[in-house]
Amino acid sequence: MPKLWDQCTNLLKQDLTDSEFNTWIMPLQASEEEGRLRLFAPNRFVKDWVKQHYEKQIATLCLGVSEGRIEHVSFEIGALRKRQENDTHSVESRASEADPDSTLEKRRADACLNRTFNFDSFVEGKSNQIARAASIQIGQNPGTAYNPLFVYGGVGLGKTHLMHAIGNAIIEANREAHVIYVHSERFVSDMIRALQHNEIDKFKRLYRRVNVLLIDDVQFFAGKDRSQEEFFHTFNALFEAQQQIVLSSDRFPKEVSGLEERLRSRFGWGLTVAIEPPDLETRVAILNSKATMLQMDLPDDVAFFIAKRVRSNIRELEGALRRLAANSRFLGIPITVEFAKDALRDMLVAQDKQVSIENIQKAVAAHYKIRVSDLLSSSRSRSVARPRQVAMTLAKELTKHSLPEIGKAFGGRDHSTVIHAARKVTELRAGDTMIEEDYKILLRTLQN
Amino acid sequence: MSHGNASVVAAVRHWADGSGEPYLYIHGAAASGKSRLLVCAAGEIRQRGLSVIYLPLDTPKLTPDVLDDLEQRDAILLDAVQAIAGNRAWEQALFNLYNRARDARRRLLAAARQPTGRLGLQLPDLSSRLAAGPSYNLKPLSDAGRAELLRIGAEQRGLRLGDAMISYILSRCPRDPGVLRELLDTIDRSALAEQRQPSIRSIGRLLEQLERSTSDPQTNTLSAAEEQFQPNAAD
Repeated sequence: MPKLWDQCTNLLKQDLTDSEFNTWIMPLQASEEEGRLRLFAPNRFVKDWVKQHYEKQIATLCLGVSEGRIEHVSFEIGALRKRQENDTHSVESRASEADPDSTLEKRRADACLNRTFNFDSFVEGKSNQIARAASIQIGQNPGTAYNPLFVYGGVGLGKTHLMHAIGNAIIEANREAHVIYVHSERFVSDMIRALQHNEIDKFKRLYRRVNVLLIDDVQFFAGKDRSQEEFFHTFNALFEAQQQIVLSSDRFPKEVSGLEERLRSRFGWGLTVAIEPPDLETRVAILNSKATMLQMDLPDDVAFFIAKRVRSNIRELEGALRRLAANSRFLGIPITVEFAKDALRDMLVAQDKQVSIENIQKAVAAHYKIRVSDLLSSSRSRSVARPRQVAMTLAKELTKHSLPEIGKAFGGRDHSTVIHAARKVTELRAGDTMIEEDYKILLRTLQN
Repeated sequence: MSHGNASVVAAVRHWADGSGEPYLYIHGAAASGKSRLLVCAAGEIRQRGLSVIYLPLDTPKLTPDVLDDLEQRDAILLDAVQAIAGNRAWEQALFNLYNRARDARRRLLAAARQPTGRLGLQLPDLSSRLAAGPSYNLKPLSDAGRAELLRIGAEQRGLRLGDAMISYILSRCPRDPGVLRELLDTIDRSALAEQRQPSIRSIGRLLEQLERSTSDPQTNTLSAAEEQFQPNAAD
């Protein structure tokens, strides 16, 4: 940063509130050339705001500080490429230090892949084993095994991790492979930018020449017709050339609303696999795996404690673990269940508040299109009794209430009724795909 | 066992110097000191020669495109996230920024009044992403903590504030730590101008003049932030 701008910012800091200074002045980057100071804002909004509110002030300061040398200040959008040598801010730069093989790291960076998302760090469980197996296959034989691979599931269950793992495996096996991981929103914004700058042909070439396209969260294409059109042609070009396509979404291809039918049907051409919320044992295994990565000592009882209490998704499970590790390291206190209870207190309270028996009753009643009062009634008709059993089982699984409390919340029933309901539902889930599907949907709804 | 706010400050400090988690989420009630903590972190990052943006999302007249391309900066601090919860366009823009920041390996710190699960976000993907890193609860100062803040703040400014003066201030002044710090600055300036230590009478006069608005902090380093948070560490 030029000294002139340093001096100006120091003066501006005195005139503006900290909030104004940090929000609008701090993100500006400056370069000085031939009687002109160029200020770069990260986007149009910031540029226009700064120009509107601070242009005169900045220009006056520059003129004064430069003793008349800088007569003109321009406001532009962009970023200076200069990076600090000792910049530990970039996770990327730290990753490169860890791995001496800079070519591989460069390939990863070009492909927008996170090296830590690989198959070794992806914990397998019943909820994701098919998705993992299919992904490994693709990592070994891209373009031939399953094309496209469509991975769907709720938020924070590891879809992105699997996609990165596929990309990483392919690049590690073949450094010449041209892989791109992109979020669907990024695809859309890149396309809009290309249209604005008259570079749509370049955009098309970029995406249609890849060997592997990993595109995340395709549900965000919904309602964006021009992007869908472009993606449709990209898809066709890659598919015909037998290049690998991997897609992810929060729901089954046919259920993604706002997408053209021709795209939806193409998404289902290859293999479609689901990732379900992990069960308790898998959550514990995930915690242990992440703890190893974080080089922390996680006792089994603490892993079980966290896994039982944080059920919504893997991302939040990891968030809890990272916080525990940071607190333990900072305070120098070993990790115990008591420590975890204290360190994660507010998070656990928030989790507990997320799922109440009342919420479960509302969700189940809405799902089966009955009234909550039906669930609490003495009716034994199948159309009411079955949802009631499902709701009781969910209450047993998702809340900390005792069985008598659950029974009481369902019209004053006995705890043995809850035990019977849980057994019945477990039995039905194993033999009846409709019940199993209902249960999974409800679980997902309540946990998210 | 309570570890107060010291671990929150430590986590933010590590986040700011690049040695800690790349994504943090801080929540705490109004006037618990979130903005000050974020502004201090932004200041430290800037002092290290890195590019940073601190953006309070409750700033009037902002539109979601203010989040465009922020991943070009080394660190992004988003304050008052609760202001955009429930607004689909904003949530989508924030979700997109999070993804871009992750892809560009940038650091992102978000702060709001509620934990992610109770923010009232409509986009579950956003809620889940905000919860991906460690989240910390910043606790408001207790009365004892406010008294300690005044005591430490006075010491740092070379002022002598006795217990009676501190009680006098706390029973008459808004309890927002920002307002207390501003009052200390005012007392400091007045003491310097008058060339004498403050008294209850002089403080009373200043309190009458003090605007009721809660202004922003005057200094911006995390060490300065600790002035506020340290008292709670021993809670």
